[in-house]
Amino acid sequence: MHDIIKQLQHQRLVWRGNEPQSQRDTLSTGYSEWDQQLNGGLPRNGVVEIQTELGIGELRLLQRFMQNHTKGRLMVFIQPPGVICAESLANQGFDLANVLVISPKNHNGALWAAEQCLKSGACDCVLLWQQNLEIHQAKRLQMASESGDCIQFIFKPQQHNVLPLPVTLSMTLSPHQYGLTARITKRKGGWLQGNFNIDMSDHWPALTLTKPSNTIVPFPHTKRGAQ
Amino acid sequence: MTLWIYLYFPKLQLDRRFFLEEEKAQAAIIVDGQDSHVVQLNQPAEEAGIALGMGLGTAASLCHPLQVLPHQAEVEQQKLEEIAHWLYMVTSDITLFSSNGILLRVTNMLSLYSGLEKYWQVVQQHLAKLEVEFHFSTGYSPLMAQVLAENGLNQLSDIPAQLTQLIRSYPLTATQLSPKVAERLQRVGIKQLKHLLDLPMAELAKRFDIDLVNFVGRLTGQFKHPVTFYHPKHPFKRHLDLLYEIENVQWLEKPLYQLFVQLEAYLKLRDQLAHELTLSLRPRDGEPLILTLHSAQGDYQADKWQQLSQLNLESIKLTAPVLSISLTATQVAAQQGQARDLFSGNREQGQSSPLELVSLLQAKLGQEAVKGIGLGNDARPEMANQYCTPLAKQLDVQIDAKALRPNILLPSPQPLSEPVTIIQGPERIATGWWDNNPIVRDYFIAHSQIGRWLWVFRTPQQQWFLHGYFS
Repeated sequence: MHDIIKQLQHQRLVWRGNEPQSQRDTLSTGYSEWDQQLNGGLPRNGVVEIQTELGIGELRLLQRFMQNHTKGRLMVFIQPPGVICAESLANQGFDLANVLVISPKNHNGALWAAEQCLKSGACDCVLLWQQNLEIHQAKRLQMASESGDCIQFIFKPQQHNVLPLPVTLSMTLSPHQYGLTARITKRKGGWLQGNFNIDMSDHWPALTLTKPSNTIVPFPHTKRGAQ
Repeated sequence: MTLWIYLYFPKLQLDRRFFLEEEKAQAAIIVDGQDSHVVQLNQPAEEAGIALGMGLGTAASLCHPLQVLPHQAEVEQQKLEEIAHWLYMVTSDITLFSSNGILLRVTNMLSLYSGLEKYWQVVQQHLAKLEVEFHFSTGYSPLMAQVLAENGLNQLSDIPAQLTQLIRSYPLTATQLSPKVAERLQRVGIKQLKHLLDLPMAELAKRFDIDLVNFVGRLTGQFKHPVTFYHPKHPFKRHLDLLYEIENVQWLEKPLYQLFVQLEAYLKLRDQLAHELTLSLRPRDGEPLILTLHSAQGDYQADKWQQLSQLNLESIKLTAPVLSISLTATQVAAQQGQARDLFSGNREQGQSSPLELVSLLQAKLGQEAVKGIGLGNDARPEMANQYCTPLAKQLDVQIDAKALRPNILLPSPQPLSEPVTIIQGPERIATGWWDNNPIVRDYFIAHSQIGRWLWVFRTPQQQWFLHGYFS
């Protein structure tokens, strides 16, 4: 009996709530509210699933993170919903020579490309737009991202009544007046909290509706983006 | 006097065929001529009692499971050129003889290799990689070396007296003299070369035709033997005949690997990398199927090319069985050292470099599916943002850092179909009148009711279009 439990633990099939939280390797997202919710930031590697509408700022949200933590390796876009704009990326200070855009003919090709990019060790992050993902596919991407030390973002529209995928982090984004409203639907080694707002007005002043009113004074001790 | 080495390949056509392991034990012969006499045979055939010059009927009755192939001179010629190409790496003056001999001029090479033994050692080791059977001999004239080698002397000597003595002991039938001439000589009692060589040249010229005089003159080295030296043409081109017609793509892998191994040896010697290979699969009838294999990084290793070719072959369908394959290196470049950061890999990292990854992706998904992005020096968004070859160095293009651009553009503008609120704008772009692609557009940043951030424009006709998402 005991052996079985050990075996299951070894395969990471058992999660124990009372275990002291392991210090996961995290990287700051560039947004303090988000960092707080994530206990330090996004994971170094693994699959991050983002359920979102197209065009509400989901990619802009990640750009800070990518700017801060790329190590000169590749940034790969797989079947994006349009043409990736070079001007916008250049404006953000990305090196365009490190950007790869892959537009395969079918979904299997996209998944294959994602896996190859992840495990190659030549990429910093892989962004994949894919609607349907099965559990075993997510697992493969997860393994590949660990072996190549690369983070995988998957953008998909919001879906209800689907089985949760074995990913490191799963989030739902929705638009908000001065940024985005986010909800973490699943996080490895952490509890779920409710909705929270991510203030994007500092980084994207032109793309927020109203500034948060000045009567809300930021908490004095937390320094923005210092973590 | 110039010293020559002649290499005689008695089984060239058999040697060049691709045999599977289990087929090597099977007897195979190659027949030629109207009477179909045996011209080449392999070891099992020899053990069964088949000999050169035997008729096909006799051979077939000696050994039942016999594989018979017709003699193809052009195939041998091709193979000979491959051997010459291979030898060209270690020796300079090479001449091809008919369809199964190669002549090397040794004298020029001796100062480089400091001695005949050393030179021969290098040539022999180099030749051993091709796994072809050959006989060899030296000679002070091309013809002398040829006669000695074709009679299977397999000895090297640079002493003129010794070589002359050797050549004198051969009968006339062992030389390239036509049977008719040999018979005429025999009638007057000249049976061996020594008898012929003892006769004064003037006497010979009086009684026999000029061909015989030329033969004797060239054999003794008194006459000049004109030879044309070989110069390599293609960088790398190999051809392989398959023993069976192959219908399944996966079965092509093994014979193909053999060619990749040859490519590896070829490239490694030159310290080069191949960037593009052309693989041609030839069916019995019809046009050959041409495949282009790319490696952005450039590879020489057979395993890497094997992997890339597998991905390429996965996507093709054979319409007819393949009879032979050939491989050509179309783009070859010198190898350049690659520096990798020793300290960046603090984690367990994959082994590929970006270029390797790109070639892998392109092999499976096709060239056009994998792109990089580049800036164009133009104000039109369609021109400024274009996909280009992956990992290309960027041109130094000045961009307007203040202009806010959406990170995802639509491939072509779509009519705006939802109510939006204008947040910022207009930004007028009116240009392109010089190349017949004029645009006059007022761009706005708009916010839709469901919270999307859109990049829209208005034409002078007051039509509204959606062009991108501030995703």
